[in-house]
Amino acid sequence: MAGQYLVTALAGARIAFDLAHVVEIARGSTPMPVPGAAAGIGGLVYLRGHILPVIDLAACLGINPAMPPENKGMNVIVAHDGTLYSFQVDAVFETVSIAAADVQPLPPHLGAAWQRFGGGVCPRGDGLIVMLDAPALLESYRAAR
Amino acid sequence: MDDILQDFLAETAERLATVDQDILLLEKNGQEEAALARIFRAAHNLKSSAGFLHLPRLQHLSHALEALLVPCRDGRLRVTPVLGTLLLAAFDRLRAILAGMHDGGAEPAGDDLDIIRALEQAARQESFDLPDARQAVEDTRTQGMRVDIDVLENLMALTGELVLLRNRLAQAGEVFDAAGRPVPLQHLHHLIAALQAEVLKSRMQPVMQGWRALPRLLRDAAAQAGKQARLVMTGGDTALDRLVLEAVRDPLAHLLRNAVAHGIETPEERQACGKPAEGTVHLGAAYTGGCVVMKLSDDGRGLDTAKIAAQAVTQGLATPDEIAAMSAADIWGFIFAGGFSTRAQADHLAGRGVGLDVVRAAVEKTGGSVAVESQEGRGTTFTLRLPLTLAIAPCVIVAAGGQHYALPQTAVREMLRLREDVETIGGQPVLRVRQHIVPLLPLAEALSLPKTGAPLRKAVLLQGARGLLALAVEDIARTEDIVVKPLPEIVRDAGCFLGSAVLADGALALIIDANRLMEKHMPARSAAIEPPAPQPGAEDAAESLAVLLFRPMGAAGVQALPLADVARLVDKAAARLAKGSDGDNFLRLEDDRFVLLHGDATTPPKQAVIARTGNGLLALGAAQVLDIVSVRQSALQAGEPARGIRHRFVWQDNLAELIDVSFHAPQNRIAPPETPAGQRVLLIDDSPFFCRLMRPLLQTAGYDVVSVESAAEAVALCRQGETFGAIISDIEMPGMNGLQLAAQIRALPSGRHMPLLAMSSYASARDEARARAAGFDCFLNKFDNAALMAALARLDTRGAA
Repeated sequence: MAGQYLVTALAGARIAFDLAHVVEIARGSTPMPVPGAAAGIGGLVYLRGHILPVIDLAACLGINPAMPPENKGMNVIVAHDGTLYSFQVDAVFETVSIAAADVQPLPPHLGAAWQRFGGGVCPRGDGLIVMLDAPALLESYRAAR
Repeated sequence: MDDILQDFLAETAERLATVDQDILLLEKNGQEEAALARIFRAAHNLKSSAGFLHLPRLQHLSHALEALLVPCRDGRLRVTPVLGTLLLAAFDRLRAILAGMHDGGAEPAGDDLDIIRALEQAARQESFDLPDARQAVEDTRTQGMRVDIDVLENLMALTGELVLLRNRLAQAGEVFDAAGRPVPLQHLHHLIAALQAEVLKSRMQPVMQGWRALPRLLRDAAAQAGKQARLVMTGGDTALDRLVLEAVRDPLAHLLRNAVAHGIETPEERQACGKPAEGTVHLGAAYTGGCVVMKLSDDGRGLDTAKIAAQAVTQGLATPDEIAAMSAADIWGFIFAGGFSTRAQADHLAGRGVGLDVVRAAVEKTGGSVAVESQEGRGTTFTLRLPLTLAIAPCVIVAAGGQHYALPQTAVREMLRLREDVETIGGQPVLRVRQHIVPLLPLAEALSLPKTGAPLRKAVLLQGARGLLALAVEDIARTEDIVVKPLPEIVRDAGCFLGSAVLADGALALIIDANRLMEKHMPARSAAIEPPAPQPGAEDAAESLAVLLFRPMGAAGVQALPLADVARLVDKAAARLAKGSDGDNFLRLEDDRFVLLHGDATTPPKQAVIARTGNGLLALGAAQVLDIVSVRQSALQAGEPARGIRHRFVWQDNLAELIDVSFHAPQNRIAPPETPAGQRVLLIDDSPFFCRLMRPLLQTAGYDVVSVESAAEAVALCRQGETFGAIISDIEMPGMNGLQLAAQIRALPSGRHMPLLAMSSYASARDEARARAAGFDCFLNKFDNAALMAALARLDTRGAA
């Protein structure tokens, strides 16, 4: 749980990615939709020679995106099990260190999706950062097939 | 490993590659000197090189082989099948030893006393024991340097990226250097195109490489089953991507085994039906528009449609009602279903019916397709369509739902423009493409895309195992060679896509898997029915008949025509109505006019069905063309032939009449420009032998032949009002001769303009002059068939005087 995290903004919430999984940050782009793909998959995007699946994080977590669709936001490129994935977020802030002692369990009022894919919360400033368990989220797609 | 050893291995592999074919050839023809010489040289050279390189196993084995081949070459020993098997086994052992050397460079341990003893005994013409059958060692490695597969794949990927970048550059237009001068990019384009071509070549192999083992496989399978069969291969130099070829090797082998197990009959059965005892399997490959088509056909007993249908019902794949509505082609499709087998017990030869669904899956994995057709008693043909290469696919880029999609050209048969109005038959939107009637499906609908309301202007005609499907799209942008990138696993099951690609304009596009799309969306009963070769009035010999149903104009009820009799459908028929001087109603169609039955100026028909009668075409006016269905023979009830109704049958609570178009056809004075199908000729010759000789020749050209043995009979026929397209007559005949015949015919009103052709064994200029004077249009040498056919074609044999 402890380690370096990349803090991002998504629909007013702050979501942190474990830096160990993050390969790159790229400017956002409109993904090409894939008809018939599972919910939460925004489509595909072409980035520097690779075609990556785009994870629509807002859809996965069940939150309404705050930003209008024209603002393409940012892509956090995550590596998992030999494949690259692009997570869509609104903005990327900073990297922070989180100590084990700072991590608290998820508040129960957060929805089911958060419970599944959130590793814990960490208070920061005047709010909470939710630590995303990206591998769990990606694995859930594999299990569903 | 030594360079010398490497060279030796490569060269030997090359020599041994064709040995099997030569041995099989020898078995068949006994005294094939060239083949024998090649085999002998292979063994001899191997012996010398092996001795030089101190390879004792190879040396001793090839020595024994050579010793056996000497009496064969001298003609003292015939290569019987038993001897052939021994030779094959000996060369297999050689290959096994060579294969074992590729890793270490030394001969694998072991000895070959069993084979050597057999070879020596055979050379002395003593009986010998065949050594244990061994799997033939496949050495498909081509000569050259060995390169890691991964290196080749990377090379391919890098080249692909270069091609993409090149495409983007090409789109960008001019590029300028620091001094403001345009950079000549043309050369860059050429270099990259050349690089792509070369790298692609590294993946391509002539299909013969993959077929090498097949003649032997067929021979062995046939021998095991107590049957005789040979393999004829054509187009072996057609090049195909290594990976695709690799993927179809096993499917082809299985199809061959199936041909032996299910298709080819035993020699006795074959001879009983007039076939040669030995069955023939043809394997051919050819390019067609961006893909390679491989056909495997046997001349065996063909598919047993009834048995397949019964098995499908037993296995719960279809209900008896569904089967009744299916065409033979639909039923054949069941053989590709998983676990399907019409054999009560599995035999180890063809397996437990686990074969054909695996064959289809393997072929479709490459992006290709497999289809089957059959003729009862004549044989079965499997057709495999394969993409040239997996790496780069020529595609058609289409727009639907506001996005671009790529369709591989292997699946695309044609691109069409759509008209404003979409026709439906039985509620299903269809498109008429020449003589096909094809289901029409909007791509946006097939992919469940949100509706944009954009008009669908164009359609792509797809070809698949199930038939034809027309995909309606907003636009067809262009064709493009795209680099196929596999879909990330997370979206692989999404829909009917086989990959994604970056287009020239930098945008991403999904590549549609046409096969899967068609599987999903085509109705179980294929509405795309291709009428069989025109046979006027001939009913489907099989158990069901495909018919076209329509409501005739100005008459109540529902009528039907055998689909084989339908030449085309015409819409907006009312606009084409015309009246002839004799009061007949006509339908005008481009340059043709057809007599119209049903409908006139007061009740103009909405649509018309152009039907074939015995000797021409007729237009049937329709208020509505309803549907195309298959009717079981058993469902056809008695009709009223006296009124031109062949049968009646029940269709959707209507009593439909299957009509005999020929009954309704008036004597067509304006015969449409058609091939002479159904034209009658009268053949007069006092030699029955000659008539028997000429009849098939004329029939194959499409003529109906009436033959009589005397001129008197011929004249009597004409007097009775019989009309013919032409009269072919001998000159020298007992009783009335040809010259008198001509005079008599010309005297008749119907005979004044009748084409008269004389055929005579006396062909002097004087004979010709006399014949022409008597009224013959043409004078030909009796056995000059070519001249006869040419003359018939030249003369206007259409219509009576």
